[in-house]
Amino acid sequence: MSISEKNKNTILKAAIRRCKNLTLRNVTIAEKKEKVFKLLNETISSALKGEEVEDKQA
Amino acid sequence: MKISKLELRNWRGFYKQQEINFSVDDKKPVTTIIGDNQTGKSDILRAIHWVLFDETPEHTNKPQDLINNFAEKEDKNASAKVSLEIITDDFKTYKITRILHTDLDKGGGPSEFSVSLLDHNSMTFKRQTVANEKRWINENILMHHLRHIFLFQGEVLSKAFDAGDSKQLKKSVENLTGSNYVNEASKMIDDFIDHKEIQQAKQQTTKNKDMKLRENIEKWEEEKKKILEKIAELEKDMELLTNERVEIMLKLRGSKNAELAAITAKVDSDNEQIRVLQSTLREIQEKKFNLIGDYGFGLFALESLKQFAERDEESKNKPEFLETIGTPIREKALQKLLDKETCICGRDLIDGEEPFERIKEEIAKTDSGAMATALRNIDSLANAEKIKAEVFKKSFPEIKKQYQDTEKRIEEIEFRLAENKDKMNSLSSSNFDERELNDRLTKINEQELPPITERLDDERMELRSINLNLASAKAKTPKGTAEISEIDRIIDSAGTLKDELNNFADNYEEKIATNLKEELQYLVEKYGTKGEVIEFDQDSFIPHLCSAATGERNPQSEGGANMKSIFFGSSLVKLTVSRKDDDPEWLEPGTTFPFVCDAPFSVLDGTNEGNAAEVVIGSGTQVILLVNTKAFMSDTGIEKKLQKLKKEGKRWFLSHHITGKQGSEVDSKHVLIGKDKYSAFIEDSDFEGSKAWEGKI
Repeated sequence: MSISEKNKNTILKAAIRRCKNLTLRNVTIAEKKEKVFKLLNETISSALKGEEVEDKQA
Repeated sequence: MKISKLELRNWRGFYKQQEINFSVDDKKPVTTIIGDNQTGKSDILRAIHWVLFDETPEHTNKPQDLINNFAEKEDKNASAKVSLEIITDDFKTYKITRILHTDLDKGGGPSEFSVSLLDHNSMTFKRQTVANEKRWINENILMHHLRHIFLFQGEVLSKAFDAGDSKQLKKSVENLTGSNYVNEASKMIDDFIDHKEIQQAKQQTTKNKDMKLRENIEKWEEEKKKILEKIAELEKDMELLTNERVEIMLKLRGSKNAELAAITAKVDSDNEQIRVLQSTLREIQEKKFNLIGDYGFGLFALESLKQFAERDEESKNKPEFLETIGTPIREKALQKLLDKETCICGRDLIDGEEPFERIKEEIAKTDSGAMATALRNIDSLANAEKIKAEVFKKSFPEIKKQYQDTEKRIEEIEFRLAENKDKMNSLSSSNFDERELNDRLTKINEQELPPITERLDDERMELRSINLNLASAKAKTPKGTAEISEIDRIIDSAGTLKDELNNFADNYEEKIATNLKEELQYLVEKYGTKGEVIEFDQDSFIPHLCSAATGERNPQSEGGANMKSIFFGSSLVKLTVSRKDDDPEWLEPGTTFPFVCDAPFSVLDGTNEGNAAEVVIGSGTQVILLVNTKAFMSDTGIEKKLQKLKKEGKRWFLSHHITGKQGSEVDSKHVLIGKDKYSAFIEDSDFEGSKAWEGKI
């Protein structure tokens, strides 16, 4: 199953926002990666299952 | 986002409490703050800068002197306080406050920061807990690196242009437009794909290991199956041998089978019967012989008598047979007679009366006494024999029948016995050969069973080993790991997302540069020198005004440089706050912080002052315009422009009051406060320092 347009927008927006916020918090690269990877993994997995993705931190 | 109010207390030139309300009307987003030089216009911008970031702008005189000198003189514990009320895009109203208790030039420590959120029910501010003020400001109000754009001071941007700080400028542009985060997210997704590919590779390795383990499991299970089959075969062989051994042992323990026992018993019985019958037969025979013997003797006598009666004359005197009777010859003759079974002759004699009559006739005729005596003896004997013959005649058939019956009975038993013996022999020969059985038992115990037992032990040991390997292989097989196909799909999807960002980002930077250049060019053409074109330094956003004809960079006057920085800042803000229709859905709206513009309008000519104001107002966001009174009031100045644009929502004036009461008067227009000399702008005033008041538009 491919990712719907809506989910794609949500994931990308969430990823960009997470990058921005983590940069502003001056977290370490490792921590930033951990958090963004977690977000991507969870949201993409959900999207592939056909679920509607939400950015909980939005 | 809008700034609704600024409160100042003892902040730099502002003595005691001052408040400035800003226009939050979208249709009239401009608030002008008008004042002469040194009345505190820049301190307004510095106050906003300080309350947000705890720092004063780079272009600031005496950056360590933040607490109002009058207040300090009046009260050495006086503190500076700035509060900024901000209405966010989601209509939250924050009041951000910073207090400095001891001035920095007096070794003051960190400022006190607080955030309060307006409760719309009670219309009071409730203090919020903010763990990290910098982070909170960055995330909720304005990112630190964007301060020079939105808290605009023409000199700062000009300096950046002059310094050729393309890196910082590019970063500012990227941050402002958000393209850097698009790039960062793209890189993150790229790294994520790498991460998933590594994970996939690891899982593939794990899967290979799993497959190997599963193959091992299958191998061990196959081995186990083979071993179990072998064991089953061996156990079957062993069972057969064991059963055989048990049977042999049972047989050897005397447990002969019932049939054989019965037959044996019958044989024994028959043998006994035969023995008895034979004994009976012998008795009958003896009786018969006795009877026949007696009868035979009589027959012999009768024979002799017959011979006598048929004697010739010569032998009449002496019948020889009488002399031999009772001798072996007689017995022999008798036996011969019996063997020939010629006794019938005697019977024949007995049956007839003729011999006895003849004897009687002979006796009667004899003249010799001796002969007569012999004849009488013969007669007596013959009569005795006749009685015996009578007895024989009566007894012999019965004895003979007894004999024959007994013989028949023996014959029957012997026939049955022969059959049973055959059976018995058969059974004995097949089952009850003890030696054979013992030999067999020995062979089973010593030759046949041990190798089977040994092989069974080996196979069972092997089975235990296989079971251990099997358990080990099963234990090593991980459970619940994500399927590689799932990772594949995640990687594919992440690749699609990355492509989306990359396609956008590839064009976006160029698009920003193009849009920025177009906007700048538009402003240059509209408000600048005709015939000039905007060019960026290679790979940077540093703008240069060049001759359209030659492409050469035109020399910049101070006013021109300031206009360029105003153009740039305004264009950038405009690009940031205005979303394009063709921007993707996932691209967040740009920063909408108010444009606080402290442009050095005073260095511009009248026309440029108005143009600069028009450019700033055209940025499309809330504008706080700090302008010089002269620039505002001039014939071609800002006021006229504002009247024309009808965007001004509020207008404030600043004035600076020096009473001279707290310091020594230097001259009619200046007083000395501490080491600083202040202009005595209004001599006759009850207010000390800068003062803001709202004017009519």
